[in-house]
Amino acid sequence: MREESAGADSDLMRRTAAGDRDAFAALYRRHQALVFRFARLMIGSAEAAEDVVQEVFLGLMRGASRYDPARSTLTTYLYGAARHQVRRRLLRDRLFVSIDDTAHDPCGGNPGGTAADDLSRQRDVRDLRRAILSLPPRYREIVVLCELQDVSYADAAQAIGCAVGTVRSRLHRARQLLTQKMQRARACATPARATVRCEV
Amino acid sequence: MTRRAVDETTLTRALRALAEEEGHVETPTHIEAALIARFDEYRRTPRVRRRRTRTLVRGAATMAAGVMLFGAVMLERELTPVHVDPPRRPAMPSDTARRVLPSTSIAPSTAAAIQGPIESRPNGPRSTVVLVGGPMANGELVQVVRMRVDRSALNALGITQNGSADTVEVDVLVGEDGVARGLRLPL
Repeated sequence: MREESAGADSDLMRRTAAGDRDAFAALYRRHQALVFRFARLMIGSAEAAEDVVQEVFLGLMRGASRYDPARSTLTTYLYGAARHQVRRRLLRDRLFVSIDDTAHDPCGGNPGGTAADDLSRQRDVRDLRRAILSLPPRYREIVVLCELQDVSYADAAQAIGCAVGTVRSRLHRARQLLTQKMQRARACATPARATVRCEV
Repeated sequence: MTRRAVDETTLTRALRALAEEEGHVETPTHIEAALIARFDEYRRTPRVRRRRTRTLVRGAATMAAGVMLFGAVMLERELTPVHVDPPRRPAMPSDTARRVLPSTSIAPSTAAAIQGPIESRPNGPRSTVVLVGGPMANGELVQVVRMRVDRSALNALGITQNGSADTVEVDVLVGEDGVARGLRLPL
């Protein structure tokens, strides 16, 4: 399945390099979502993620003739390019844009759960988004790739340019950090009971 | 179930929920239209023109870098302090030196050039040129060789110099024939 997909990608890339507009459009439709989601989760802004998608595919268009399928799959190549663009943007902006609440799917709740479960789940997801955005980029990208995008450790290692062991250790550390951050978020959300002295 | 296990479960559940939410997210459609338009534009531009544009951009960047480098070098030169001694009469060589090199054997213009102020000194701000060896022809090219000379050798030439070191660093002016024409040494 994966080989078939890679073969199709190679064919599309070859045709794109030859100037085939439909091939480029097909490539875009196949892979735009993963680039967009990765960028959105990394930066926390849909607008910035759109810019990243444009930059990545413009780069793909210009460098289609230089793409070598023997070196990596197109997905890995795109993740690498998206990561580069995201890092550039993060370095340039030096700040994290607030979470894009409008992009949340309001119907994304568990249909089988109760209203309380749904509320709790939504709160957990919101806290998790914040926690991910507050992670250092090297941990954030691992969480986004391996936990949220279902990328294998080997592919993530290739996209990031490190060893598989590094991916594992970073992921472990990232999960620890996320747990701590979510605990802190829950503690802040719980109203503290304090004794108040009344003065008459 | 320990607290840690609960936290892990909560995190895993939240990650799954977030992944599920994100699974529906797609790039807005206007991005595709914009990219396809850029693709058409890119393909319409002839390759030769693209290459020429790239070459022009690279050339401009190289020129800009060259100009900046040149400016930086010139600025550094301007900022570097250059010590220039006031023009003064060179120290009188001893009788021995006079015997070795009669002053009449040197062309007047060359002698004047050598006796003029010297901007680069070997060891200190004050130095002088002692004429030794054969006569210097008018317009002759000389090379300057920096070397250490025994103080006793200088004494033999009748040159007395302050200091306690056994050797003195001097600049030897060597003519085209390899014979020393003069010594430049600190006072």
